[in-house]
Amino acid sequence: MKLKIDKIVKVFGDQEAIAPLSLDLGDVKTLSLIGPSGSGKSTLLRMLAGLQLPTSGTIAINDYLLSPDEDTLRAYRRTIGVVFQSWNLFPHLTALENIVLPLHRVHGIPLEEAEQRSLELLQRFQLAEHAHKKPSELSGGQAQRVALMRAVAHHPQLLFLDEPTSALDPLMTAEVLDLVMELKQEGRNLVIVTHHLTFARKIADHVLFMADGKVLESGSADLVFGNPKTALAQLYMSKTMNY
Amino acid sequence: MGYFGLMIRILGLFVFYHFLFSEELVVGMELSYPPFEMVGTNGKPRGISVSIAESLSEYLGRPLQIENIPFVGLVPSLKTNKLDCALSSMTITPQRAQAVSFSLPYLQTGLCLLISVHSNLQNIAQANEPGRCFVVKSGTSGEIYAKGNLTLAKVLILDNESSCVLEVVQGKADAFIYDQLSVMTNWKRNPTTTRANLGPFQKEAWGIAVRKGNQVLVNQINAFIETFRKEGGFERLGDTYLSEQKAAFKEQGIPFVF
Amino acid sequence: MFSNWQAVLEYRSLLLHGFVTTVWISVASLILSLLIGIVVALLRRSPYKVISGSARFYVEFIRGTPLLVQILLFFYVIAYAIGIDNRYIVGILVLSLFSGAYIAEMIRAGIESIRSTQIESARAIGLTKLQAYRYVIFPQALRQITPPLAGQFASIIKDSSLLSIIGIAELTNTAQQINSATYSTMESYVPLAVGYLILTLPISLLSRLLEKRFQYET
Repeated sequence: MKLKIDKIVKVFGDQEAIAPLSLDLGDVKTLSLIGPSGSGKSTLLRMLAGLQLPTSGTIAINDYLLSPDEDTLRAYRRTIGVVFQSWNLFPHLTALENIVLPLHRVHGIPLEEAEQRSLELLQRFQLAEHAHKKPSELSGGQAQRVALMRAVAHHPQLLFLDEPTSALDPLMTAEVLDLVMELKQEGRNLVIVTHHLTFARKIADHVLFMADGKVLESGSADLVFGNPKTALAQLYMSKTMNY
Repeated sequence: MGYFGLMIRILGLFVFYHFLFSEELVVGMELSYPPFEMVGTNGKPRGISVSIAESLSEYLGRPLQIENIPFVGLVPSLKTNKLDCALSSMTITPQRAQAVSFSLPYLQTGLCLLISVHSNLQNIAQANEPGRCFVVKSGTSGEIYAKGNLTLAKVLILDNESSCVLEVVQGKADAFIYDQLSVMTNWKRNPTTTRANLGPFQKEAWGIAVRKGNQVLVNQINAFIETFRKEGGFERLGDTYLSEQKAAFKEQGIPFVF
Repeated sequence: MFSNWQAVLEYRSLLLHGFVTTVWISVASLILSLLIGIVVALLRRSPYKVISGSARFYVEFIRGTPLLVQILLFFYVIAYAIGIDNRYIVGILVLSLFSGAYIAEMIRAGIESIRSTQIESARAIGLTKLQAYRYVIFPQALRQITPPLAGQFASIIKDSSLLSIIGIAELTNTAQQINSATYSTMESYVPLAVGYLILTLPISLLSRLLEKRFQYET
């Protein structure tokens, strides 16, 4: 994917969440955003996913300029997939119904075909037995994996993951991260915000380290993790790599 | 049995004997019928019936206790022995006489009509026709009359006098069937929206009701009524509370209630 | 004390008539109050202060005054001024306006109880606002609202007894009349209570059943 960000700023009330930010990435397969809480990573991800508008500035993904018009943005969102930290799935629908809903209602795929596709996906990732369970009957890891299924079912060009494992215990985290890795290996483009630095290092080809709404480090995984230039990044790496 | 059980028993006996030999005269009335039964500005009962009750209790040598009870609840309260007597402008009717014992009458009145200006009704002879609507207060002799005689007309039964008057004032009903004194009072209060036909189409007498079978008390009350009337007690009350009405009745040539 | 059953039994067709009146008044009021509730709940969410403020005032007024007062005021003052004569229509209107305010609050609470993350999820997968309401918000809100709504229906049935104050011959009014006509102490109040229970018990059972069915973690 190509990513061109031109002087974007995001202000909430009188708080500046993202300071003027510009970025030009040519060919990135997996982009990872890391950094301490409150650094603006999630905000940036949401803007890239068309869920939030920058206060000023422009974003172009794969040469497609994100416009401030809701209808156009919605059309853009239909070409991507998003998974949040939690509460992705609709609690009144079963796992299967959750995946079928966007396929059928948003992308207009006939119901039978949508169900077929969804079941196949669930089978592929060993979740078929949970197809008719409601999210409350699934474990956290299972629910997040179903959310991932839903996000990829319509073959999106891009997948945005906002801390997909932060609410999970280590075992479930591993389940989910395995799946993400698989998706990457299938060739999907990912933008992922995560606290799991070892995973980020493994999966990403480009990493952004953010703090206080600014990008302090930008480069390949090895570069950012192995040789951070800024003091803050260095501190962050040394502290967090301990555990 | 235990200490607690013993206390309960003693208390029970106390209560039982208190009621058995109770001196108090418990009189029931609905305090919403001026000038007979009403609440004074100090919150205490006052009115003609209250004065009569006071004189009665004095005559019997028993302390008076007045219970404010909705009209429809008076007979049931007598039946369950919650009251010694009911002194509430109650008409003596054969049906009521089956449920309670009545004293001799102490007041003569009659049912008449408070008619709406929007209605062309003149008198009771025209009443029993389909298309007519009458309003009565629940539990009164007016209700009994309407139910028995106005089978073709519509009868609306409401539980308070002011709602009944409103229905007539607003033209929702042709007339309110009620006693002469109240009809006159309400007519005077609503001169532009109502008119009154005070001629009583059903004569009624008011009596004091007592639990059925309590002949002793009935006799005592009858004796009291005779005495009270002889010494002009009722006349005095009429002059005090009903002077305006007395004059109006004289004007229209209708015999006064006492 | 309860010795007058014979007399009361003779009035059973009158009681049945009162029962039927209570039923149809309650059903009509429930339907109308549901409509009012939905409309008011949506108006509350309007971005125009005048609209949402008026809706709010209506709810606060209804919930802050006794139903008895509302019935008397509405029938003898407002309906009289407007010219509505039929007391059954007025009765249903008052009951619906009364219940509608409570239902509006229930709906509002139901909608607001749905986490904002749900709405975000809906946006993220590309649903339009209308689709989000139809497939995500309303189904969930409905499940939330149904148990208290059933309770509200039971309330309507019981509250309809107050309509006797303007002379509507529903169950309570009828029982009171029979009581006074037969000089009973309480006899006619027993079939009265039974009559209401016949209506409210199935509703509370249904409500319990629905609650269990719709139970899940939100």
